[in-house]
Amino acid sequence: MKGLNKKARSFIGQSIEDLFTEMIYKIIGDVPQLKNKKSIVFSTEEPQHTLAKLYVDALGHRKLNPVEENVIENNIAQATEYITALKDKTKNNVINKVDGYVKNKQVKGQSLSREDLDEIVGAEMEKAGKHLHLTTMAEATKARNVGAGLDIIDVGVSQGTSDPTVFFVLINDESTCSECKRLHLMEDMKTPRLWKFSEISQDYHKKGDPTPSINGLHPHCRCTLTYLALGFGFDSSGLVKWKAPNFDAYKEQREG
Amino acid sequence: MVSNMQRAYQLGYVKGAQDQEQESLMMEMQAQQNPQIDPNTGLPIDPGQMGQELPGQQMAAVQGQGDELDNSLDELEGMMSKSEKDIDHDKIKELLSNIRIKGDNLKNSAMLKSSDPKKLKLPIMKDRVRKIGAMKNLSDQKKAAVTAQARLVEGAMDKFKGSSMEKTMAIVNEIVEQEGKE
Repeated sequence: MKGLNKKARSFIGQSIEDLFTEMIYKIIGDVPQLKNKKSIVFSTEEPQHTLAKLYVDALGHRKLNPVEENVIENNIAQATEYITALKDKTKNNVINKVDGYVKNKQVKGQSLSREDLDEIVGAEMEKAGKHLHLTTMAEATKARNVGAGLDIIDVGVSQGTSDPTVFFVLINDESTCSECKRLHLMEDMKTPRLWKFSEISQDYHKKGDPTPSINGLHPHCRCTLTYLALGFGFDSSGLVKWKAPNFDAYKEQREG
Repeated sequence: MVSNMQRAYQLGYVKGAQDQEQESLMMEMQAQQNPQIDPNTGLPIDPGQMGQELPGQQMAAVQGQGDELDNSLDELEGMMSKSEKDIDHDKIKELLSNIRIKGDNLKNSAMLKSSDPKKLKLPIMKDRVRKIGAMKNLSDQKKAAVTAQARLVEGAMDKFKGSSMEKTMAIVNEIVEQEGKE
């Protein structure tokens, strides 16, 4: 009942390490953590869509100021850590599951079945894939909204507002969740609910929180952060409409 | 993040922001301080220059151009809060073209006098167009990012599916091979 030998353990560990290194390169981009793994990185095509590029897209491909660079670097480092943690978890899960299977077979004096092994490793990979999908979706939503948020602040400053008024464009269909409706629409379920940028949470959202989060309200959140300039409000259908030069739609919503 | 940005702005990191802000403040001050414009409604106040109105036909033409500009702006503003799938990009191009042509015509119209309502509304319209421009740019970037996000997630998951199958096969082969050796 000795289970997996050292060589097999090491092979599994290295295979999963390589898989996730490729995934970090594909999802995040060429981050410093990949410095010593160039042989793997160079064997794959340069990815066209990464979190780093998503930030640049959301910021309209303009030159970043040092504060923006810092915010983006921190977010990218955090996303890399999430995927690295998933890699370690997957490595442990696959090794433990296969080791348990091998020990069971050894105790019973049976030989290993290729089909069983395929099923065990495949199931762990599938689980990791679902987790990776969730992480990628959540981090991409965060990249998109944080990028847009940084740009909104920039535009707000250029228009004399240090704390710009924002709202989330909501795709109102049968899939729209009640949490998105609660925080992104007024009681008429048509007019977007306005927020000051400073009110938007920078943390991950928990159901029931009083304000929306820049990271989205849930992993598959399709709502997008948008800016509303002074002078504009909404018509009866909830569409942006010019009101008057100094019209403050946020003040009107809050003070009635 | 807001306080960081404010700090960055104070330190002059936000390039061009000061000039743009100054322009914006001047525009707003102009609109606010111009005694011929009602600060509450944004509509011109009759300057009392009775008898200097344009002849009926010319006035109607100017009014028509102004109204068309208003309508195009209204339609464009309506697009801001629509999601990507509901947006007609050709319509946006048409509206932007209309706004540019009508705005230029109105600005250059020799028929306008300083007391004409549409001329008095021009600084407000200019401010409105400038703000729509800023919101539209943000909106375009946001929509490009939505597409990029979908491609990123889709591409990553396709890659994971293919690579994880390869790795699964390699792991199974290695374990079976190791067992054979023992």
